[in-house]
Amino acid sequence: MVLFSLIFLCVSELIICVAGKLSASDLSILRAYSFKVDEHLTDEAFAKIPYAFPSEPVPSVDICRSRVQFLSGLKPERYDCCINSCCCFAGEHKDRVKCPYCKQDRYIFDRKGKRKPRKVFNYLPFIPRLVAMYANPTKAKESQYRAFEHKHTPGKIVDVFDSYIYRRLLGKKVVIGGNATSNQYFSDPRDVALGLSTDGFGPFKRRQTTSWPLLLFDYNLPPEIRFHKDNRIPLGSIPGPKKPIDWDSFAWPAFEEFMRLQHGVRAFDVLSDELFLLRGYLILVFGDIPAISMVMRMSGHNGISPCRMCKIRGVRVPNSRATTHYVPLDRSRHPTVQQSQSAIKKYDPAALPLRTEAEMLRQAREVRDTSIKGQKDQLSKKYGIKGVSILSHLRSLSFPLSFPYDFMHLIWENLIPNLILLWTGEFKGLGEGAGEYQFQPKVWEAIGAATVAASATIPSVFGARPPNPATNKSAYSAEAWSIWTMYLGPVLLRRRFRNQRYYKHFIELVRLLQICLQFEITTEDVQTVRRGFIKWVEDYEK
Amino acid sequence: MGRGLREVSKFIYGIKLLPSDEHRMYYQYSPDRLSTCTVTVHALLHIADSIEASGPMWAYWAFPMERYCGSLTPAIRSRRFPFPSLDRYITELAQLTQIKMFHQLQDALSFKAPKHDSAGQFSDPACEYPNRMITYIYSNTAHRPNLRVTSSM
Repeated sequence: MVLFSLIFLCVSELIICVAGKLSASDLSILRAYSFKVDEHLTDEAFAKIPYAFPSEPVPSVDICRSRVQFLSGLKPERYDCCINSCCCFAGEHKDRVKCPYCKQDRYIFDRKGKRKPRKVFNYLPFIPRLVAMYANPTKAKESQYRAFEHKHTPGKIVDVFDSYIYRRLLGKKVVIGGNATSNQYFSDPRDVALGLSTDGFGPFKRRQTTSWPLLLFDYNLPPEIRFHKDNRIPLGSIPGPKKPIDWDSFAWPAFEEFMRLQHGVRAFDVLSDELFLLRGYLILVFGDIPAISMVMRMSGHNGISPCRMCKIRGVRVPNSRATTHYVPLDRSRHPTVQQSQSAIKKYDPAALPLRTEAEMLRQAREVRDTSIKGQKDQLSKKYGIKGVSILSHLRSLSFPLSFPYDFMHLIWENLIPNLILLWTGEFKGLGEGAGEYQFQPKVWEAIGAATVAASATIPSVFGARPPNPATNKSAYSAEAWSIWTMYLGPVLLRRRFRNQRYYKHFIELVRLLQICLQFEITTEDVQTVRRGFIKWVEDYEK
Repeated sequence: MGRGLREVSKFIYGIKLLPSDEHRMYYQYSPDRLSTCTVTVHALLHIADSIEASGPMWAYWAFPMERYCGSLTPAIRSRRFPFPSLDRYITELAQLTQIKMFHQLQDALSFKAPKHDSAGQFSDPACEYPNRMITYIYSNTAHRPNLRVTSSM
């Protein structure tokens, strides 16, 4: 740790003195190499540049690569990891030679007996990049948004800085490892508010392989540019082929940096021309449900306690082998619930049994400290928590509120496509029962055709052209579903249902979504959304 | 549903009066239709709390993350070693961003025609046509913008 901070000091010194002028040849290298990286040129294609443009003096790819690394002062940290990507050999697994989960060897030995890691996790430290932002006049100015440009008005929610998870920290002493320090959260206008995101993505169409990129966002920047390409801070990608079992071990290097950033790191503020202690706090973690369940060490959306916000119990489809648990509010007619004395028959949507931080941590510790395996599994199933997350040591995060549900997957990737599957009779082979919501195939085809016909006259500022939902549903992106739902659906579905009440129910959803997407949300709006969704879900269950 | 039938259903399920058919929606309180009640429907009940606790939906939705993942897919140039090639791309991109930050090269390395903030500065409110000003027009081929006079109504 001491050595590490020493190295870091040297790096920050380097950052401060390196910012001189670049030579013409360096600029030429940077231009060529930026072009290569932007356009994904292969090394072979890059080697052709001097022949294609003889007047441009571009050295070989290796020279360029090492020059770029030198000029950036940014070197990836390489951590060995399990060949099946179960865990990273960092933190508590640092000295292991076998993966504790799949028992695979960490090293491979060549003929001379020299050992080599079988797989490596490439981690990019983010502190040097935050430090560099304050040495850049434009970025340093933009970073003042949180402290100076954003004005909090009570009763209005415009940005994360109006939220409970941020405001509860203001004026409070920073707590590190159970000890309060002398400084307060966000007391310096330069204190950085950070958000972490991860997601599984499959690089290949025909393979199950997934990789889990880690990405950091700087919330000090104004919302218009916060998520821009140059402002996102990639931390590297957890290599596949499988979903990591022990995500915490991969998050270890980032966790170390978050801890250091809470204490403060030396940085130079170009605007006031002074050295200062740069501090930063992680306040949000987001992504889709499987990703966040992994990060929080929860059992996920199919478990007995599938919701990370409340303790609602899931029930299974009777007489079925499927282990998926579903969460209706009213399960009074379910055979298992009827037989059980203790099971709740109907949950009150206005008073769900919300999870609290203290309780979640207590449950997590209980699961961790149980050494009997059967008992451990039983407990973790009951609570929906598999263990203590490494992020729970960061007191700037609040469990579960700092891990909100993601609107994009929730609405555009799940709710709307599921409603359409219901309307077209394709939802899990379910008929309409006593309902009257299914469309005749001809009706749905007509709606599809009308969607396509409408596309030609919708100005492009609204977004990309939505494809035909009847014939080309796989081409729908989350954005296309949002355009279809918000602007086309209300018109195209009018008078199409055999019964008006399904249309009214859909329109009520659109109205609520519209409020959720407003740039400014008042306390009354929140109340409307709360009451509206309670009514909507209760109606959905009717 | 007739009155008699209602009595029957009351008897069968032993619960209070079921909603009549004209109110039936999707789940219909039927255990066989349980699969309509997914966690995503339940999660709607947490949206209002979430806005108050964590801020507006756009501040933490997955669009920026998905966009980033989308930008990574073409970076995988090797089918045999997909992850090292991915790591190299992420690293090099971060290094270039860092250099841009040190040397204020954001514009120079953006490979786009420089932004002209000067557009509009030639307008003269005192002249005969106060709504006329000089702006730039862009075309795909011309690197240097041409000048033309447009109306800024």
